[in-house]
Parts: sequence; structure tokens; C-alpha cells
Amino acid sequence: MILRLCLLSGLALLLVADSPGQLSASAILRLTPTRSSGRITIDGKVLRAGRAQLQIPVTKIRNPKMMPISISATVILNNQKSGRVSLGSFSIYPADQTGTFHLPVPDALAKAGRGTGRITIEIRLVPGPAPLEANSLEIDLGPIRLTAEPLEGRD
Amino acid sequence: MSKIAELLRRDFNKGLLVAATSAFFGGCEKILDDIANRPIRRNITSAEAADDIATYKNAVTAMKALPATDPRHWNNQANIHQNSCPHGNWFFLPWHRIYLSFFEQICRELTSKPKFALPYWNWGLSPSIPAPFWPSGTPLYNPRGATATSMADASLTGPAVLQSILAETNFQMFASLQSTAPRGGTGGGYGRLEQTPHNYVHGFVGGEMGTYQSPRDPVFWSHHNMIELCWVDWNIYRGNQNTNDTSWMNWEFSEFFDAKGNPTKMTTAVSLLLPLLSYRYDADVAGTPKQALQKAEHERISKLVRQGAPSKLEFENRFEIARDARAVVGKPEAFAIKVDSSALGSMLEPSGSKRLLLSVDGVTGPASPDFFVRVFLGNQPPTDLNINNPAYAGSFAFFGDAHGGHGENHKLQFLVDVSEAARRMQQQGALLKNGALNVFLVPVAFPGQDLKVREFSLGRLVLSNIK
Repeated sequence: MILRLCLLSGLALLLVADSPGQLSASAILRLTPTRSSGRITIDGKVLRAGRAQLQIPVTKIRNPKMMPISISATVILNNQKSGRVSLGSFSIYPADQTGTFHLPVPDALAKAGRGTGRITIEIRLVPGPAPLEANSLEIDLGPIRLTAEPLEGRD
Repeated sequence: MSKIAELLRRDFNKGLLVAATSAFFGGCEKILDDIANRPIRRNITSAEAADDIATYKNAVTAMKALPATDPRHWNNQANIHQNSCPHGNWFFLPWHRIYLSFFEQICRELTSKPKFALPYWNWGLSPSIPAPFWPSGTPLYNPRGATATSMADASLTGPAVLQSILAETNFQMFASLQSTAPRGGTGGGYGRLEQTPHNYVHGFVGGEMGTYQSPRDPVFWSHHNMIELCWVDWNIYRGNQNTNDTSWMNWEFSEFFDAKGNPTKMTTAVSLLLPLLSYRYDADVAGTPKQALQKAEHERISKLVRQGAPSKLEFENRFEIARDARAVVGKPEAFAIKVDSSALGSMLEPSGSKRLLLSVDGVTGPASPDFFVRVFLGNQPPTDLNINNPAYAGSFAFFGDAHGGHGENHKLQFLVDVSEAARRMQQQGALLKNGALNVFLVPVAFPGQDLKVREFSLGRLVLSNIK
């Protein structure tokens, strides 16, 4: 019974992107050529601690044709299209190599976000020079989180 | 192999970074000249890069023509990357710096062009793969996904993105995250330089560039040369600090081959000296010409020489020669010390492995560094002050502007490796006089300089032998 519950909760976390709703930060986001973006909501309290970065683990890639992959992250302010702040983009090399990627949160955004409880972030496949064929690509990302942990620079 | 590269291999790999660095700058004017005139890595789209592009084509052709068993063969060089390249952690930058440096030395060796420097592709300013890599059938061509007119996405490689990445002050966010090993370690994660322009360009070019066999495409080396320029700009021109974590600094990479095809090693700490000693760039990432950056570069070298870098020196004996010494410009100043020859041990034998260092501590930086100091050994004062004199051991000079941010009264330390001169003079029976070893310091004016200083303080002189 416990095992079944665990399996069900695991499946519930693996949600397909581009759905009208937003995923919680603990969810795994799956991007494909036909569902090329998704939104997650993240706890913004961490911004109160100061400098922050968005940590995006790419945990699984199915890319048999090794198509170039780039992914962008954008903060959606108040769920309005006009209020969008880009956090930047990153690429995958080789095009099936998983890993954890980091995008800095601009100071201005961090200041603005300090008072908010939740932040909505849109993750999107960046279009390449050639259109992606349907079913040619699957990327799982998450759990995505904001971290204020200072990365060690120099003693 | 160049004299600089030879010294890097011979001395720095023993962990004697301070001694080697100081002896490097203080020990040989020829090397100092080599450093000042080290090869310039140029933008591949500039007219000045034409000779280097021609040499690069010849080098690629020569590497492909080597026997398949030669580690310098084109495919074997790519296999080093396939088997050992670190990605997604903080060994990414130093590993590729060393990889490029040895590749560049192989190119010089195979083309007999000792001043060759690998040209770089600045995709921030030139978003299409440059013309020398086309067309099919030419030495720098490789089958690719991109065409000659494909344009890299400015949102991943453009000037605004690069300036934002270069403005990052956190080493790990810039250069990728801490890991316990280059491959298979714990920790890690991508930093901004690697995950954005670096990764993107590999995928944008496509073909083998999109795989770990990417060095089979000649554009790989010019792409990574641009990544290297980004690090040089961030660290040296802008003065951002790398981590000083010893697990990063002391990591020794051993998968490389030198210009002759011999296995070789280098630590991260030594790799930090490469852009200061063995190559430089014609411009920064934004395309600002090199000349405008020389002051920053000199300050960086000066700081490195004065402060040294993490190192380990194992002294066996120390002999204080003089305290509160002074010297007059143009006049040999003699300092003598009775030395127990047994204490020097095998150092003075022709094949001796030990080294004898002269340490000059507490030197007051002169207000006007228009002279340098030559060091001679022997049983009588040198009459010939030329560096061809067998008694000549080395020299030291004062870098940068007079004050260099340290102030006129800042105390400096210099090390001069006097081992070779001591052996030469010993063989001639001209080293010791009545059991005493004589050291002569001669302040010499730079050619054409109008001397402002006539006398200056040398501080304390100590002779040490090290393992």
C-alpha cells in the first residue's frame, strides 16, 4: 500500500508542460517539441536572504537525433504577459548530457520579489535554426528551486 | 619547446611555484624578453591573423599525417577530450586552458613556427563561423550542421550576454561549480560561461562539434580559445578572483602530451600563469585593442611576482650573507659568506639535483624603477658585467609603475636561482675564495633610461639550498 502511494505520488509529480495550470516547484517539468514551455511557481522567501540563483536540474534527456537544445527561463510578474523578466538561457552539450544549470536572479528582481510569497517562472525551449520534429525530443527538468546559498568564490 | 614552456614543465611541476616564478622574473633577462614578446592570439577575422591561419592549416595537415600511434595525431588529440574533458564543474576552465596550450605548442613544433599563436573566433562579435573554416576540402573544414551563413543566437552568445557573464563576480557562477574531481567527482553544476555561450556554440556548429569528439573539428580550438579569452578578460583584465581552494589549485592533470609527444603534467596553479607567460591576446572580449590593457596585465604580473602563489619550498640549509645591505648603481657590491661545502652536498656536482637560491628580502621598491640588478658569483668581482659572463647567475627587476599600488616603502622579495652559475664557477675552480662564497650584486640602468636613483636598500641576503 505504501509502495503504491509512493508510485502514485511520483507519477503525480511528473506533469506535462504547457498546461494551463502551474506546477509546484517540486514537480518535474517535461518539455517536448509540441509542449515547448511550462510554468512553475516557486517560494520567493529565499530572496529575502540576498543574492539568489535559479537552479535547474536537467535530469533526463531523450534526443536520439542529437538536436541542439537551449532553454530559457523567464519570471512572470503577477501572471501578466507585460511583466516578464528574462533570467537568461543555457544550452546542453553534448545534446543528451544531463546536469544542473544556474541562472542568476537580477538584483532588481530579487528586491522586488522579497515581499512576495510565490514567484512564477516560465521554462521554454529556445527555437533553433531548424524546427524540431514531434516526438524527437523529451527533456525532464526539476525540481527547480531558487537558492540563496552563497557559492564559494574565494576565501 | 620554448624556453618558457620548458621552465613551466621543469620547475613549476615540482611545486616550486614561488621559487620558479621569482627566478623566472629575476633569473633571466632573456626569458623576461620572451614574456614581453610572447605570441599574440589574434581574432581570426582580423587581417593580422593571416599568418597564423596559414600556420594553423599547415599544423592540422601535419597532425593528420602523423603515424596513428603518435599521441599528437589529430584523432589522438580529440581522444584526450573524449576520455578526460571535465564539463559541468570548476575544472572545466583550467583543463581546457592546458589542453589548448599544449596543442598550440604541438602546432609550433610541427610547423617550425615558434611564434605561432592559435587564432580565436569571437562569436560575440562575429556570429557566423568564420571564412577560414570553409569551404569543404580545405584543412580547417569539417562537416557541420551549420552553414557559412548560419548566425549564432545573440541571446546566448551576443555582446550583451557576454558582458553580463563577465560582470559576474562569483567564481563558481562564472566558471562552473565545485567538484571533488574533474570526472566522476561529487558536486558540480554548470556556471554561466560554460552553460550558455560555450555549450550553445558546440550545438550551433553541430556535426562532431556537438559531441565529445568535437576537437576533430578545427573550429573547436578557436571556439575554446574564445572561452579562454573570456576567462583572461574576467580574471586578469577585470581583476576578478579565481577560487583559492587547494583542491582546485593543486589538482594535477596528467593526460596531455607536449610538443615532442611526451606525456606531461600540469597543475591548475601552474595553468594560471600561462596567459601571463606564454601567450597574450590582441584584444579583450569586447574587441578593445590589447594596448589599452597592458597596464592591467603588468599590474597582475607584478602582483603575482610580489605575492607569489601557493607553493611548497623545502629548504635544507640557510646562510645569511648580509643584513641592511645597500648598493650603488653601476658598481659591483660584494657580499661574502663562509660556506661549509659539505652543506651544499651534491648541489655543486655537475649532475646535482639540488638548487641554490639567493633570496633578497626587504628590498625597498625604488621610487623610480629605472634599473635592475644583476647577480654574479665568483672569487673576484666581475669586470665583465655582460650576461654572457659565466659568473652571471641572474637578475631581478622592478615591475609596473614605481608605486604599483604598494607604495614606495613596500618591501619586496626576490629569489634568484644561482645553481647553474655556481656549478659553472665550481668547475672552473673559481667559485670559492678561502672557503667563502662571494655574491656580487650590480644595479644596472635600463638602456636609454635617465637614472634617478643612485643608491638603494637591498635588505637581507640569504643563500638557501632546496631539495
